[in-house]
Amino acid sequence: MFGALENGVRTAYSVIDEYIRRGQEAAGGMFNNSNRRGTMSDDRGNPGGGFNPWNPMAMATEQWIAAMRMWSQAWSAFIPGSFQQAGFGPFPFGAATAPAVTVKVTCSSAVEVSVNMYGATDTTDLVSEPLRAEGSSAKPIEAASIVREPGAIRVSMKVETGQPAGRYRGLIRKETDKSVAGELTVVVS
Amino acid sequence: MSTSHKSLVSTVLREYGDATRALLFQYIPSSEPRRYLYDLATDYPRRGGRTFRPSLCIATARAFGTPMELALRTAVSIEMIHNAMLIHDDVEDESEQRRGKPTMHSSQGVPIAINVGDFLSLLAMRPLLDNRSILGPEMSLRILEETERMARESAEGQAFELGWRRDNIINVGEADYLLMVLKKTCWLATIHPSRMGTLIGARGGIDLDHCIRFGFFLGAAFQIQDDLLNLDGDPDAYGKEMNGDIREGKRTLMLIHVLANSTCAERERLRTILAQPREDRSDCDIFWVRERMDAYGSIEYARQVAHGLAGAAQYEFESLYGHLPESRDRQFLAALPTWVIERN
Repeated sequence: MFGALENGVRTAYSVIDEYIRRGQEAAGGMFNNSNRRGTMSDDRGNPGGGFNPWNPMAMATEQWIAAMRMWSQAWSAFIPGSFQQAGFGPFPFGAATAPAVTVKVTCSSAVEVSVNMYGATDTTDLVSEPLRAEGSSAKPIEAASIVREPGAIRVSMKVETGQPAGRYRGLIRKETDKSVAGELTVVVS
Repeated sequence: MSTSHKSLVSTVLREYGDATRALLFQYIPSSEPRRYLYDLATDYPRRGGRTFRPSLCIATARAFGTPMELALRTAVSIEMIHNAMLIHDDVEDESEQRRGKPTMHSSQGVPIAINVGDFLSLLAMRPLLDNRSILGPEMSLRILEETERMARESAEGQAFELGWRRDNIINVGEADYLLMVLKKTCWLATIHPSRMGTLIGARGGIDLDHCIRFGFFLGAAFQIQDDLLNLDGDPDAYGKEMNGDIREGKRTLMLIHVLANSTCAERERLRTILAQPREDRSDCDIFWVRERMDAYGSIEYARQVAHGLAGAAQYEFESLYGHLPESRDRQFLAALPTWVIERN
């Protein structure tokens, strides 16, 4: 039975490696496809001779897939084709550029700060939430202040002396509609 | 698997499952038609499934330190799609039981069941659209694209299985079976939840294709164990009719092993049995197939393969997530390869 285990894993690796390889080939070959994705389709190992959607459920499934594509395409229409703001150019679909960020931290211990802004975020009226540690009751780090500057945003925050070590996270939202624009992470050593 | 690991997996599944179901039910309208649609849409989710898929999504995101809130709507969408597919699968497989109760089409009729499944599938868009206010438009659109891909892979896998049954294809090899399982089971059950959890948790910082191997091995082990439980499991715990897969003519690893090892006469008898409509397969036929599985050691063979795949999943887990800091969610993910083959 040792052979069963070994052979099974070997067969499985050959299947998944082939699947991934063909998908990467398809993605590379469809670089100019407007979908920007390979189909990852694979006709290997189908003794039935290809896809034959005979079942009535297959039609419903195809309709659902088509509906999901429609939703996905319709959703993309809501992404602004461009918006002009000081320091930012148009926002091309699928190639968003996050704003530049400068960070000022006042603290007495070693900290690591990272700011992740989602795409070409509109940087007006941004506010930070207090930063909370996951799975810990440690006192939160006070919300950072966020100020818009030409071509960038400045994030200023203070980490109190004696703040317990840990990883603290807080969302950055637009004050107007509370939509999430990014997140702030601080690791206190 | 140690008792503490089993307890951890159960605890996490229950916690994330409760959160997923609570939010899922909020998406179901309370208006008419309730008797023919909206009450039925909550039927399968209320039957107490393990919510393994949404829990995997949430736990993966949280293993990166992300709050559950950021992954919850995607997890709800996954659970909606899963239940929609269960309703349709039960129609396609002519199954009679699901989670210990009659299948939806058995009690409500096929037309209504299909419509409920269609509704749940399309409703799954709503939480993904609501992601906009939580994750931002770019990531929300990415998740929508990923969901479309998962749906396509799942449909392709299901097409293989249905086509093999309809055309009574019996020269299905192990590689063919694994490819079918990769598409039909793994994409929805393990690959997509892992990818979404990683996408949300790592903010696009990890190539999601790295999740495919881990998801594949985990999902394939999960599916083989599911097929073994259909033959050997505890009937009360399993929730579906025992030996039902044999009656359906489902191409499991065990059936493939029997077909590969049987004599010419046995193979011909198997071909004849599998060519019949489900309702014409006698108990005698089912018992004979099961007896051949026992005689050729097919069940133990499949069990060994499942163990091997679980081991491969463990290896791929370390490659993919080994760098993550120690946490309850990381421990949950690490325990899954063992859990999927030891569950009942």
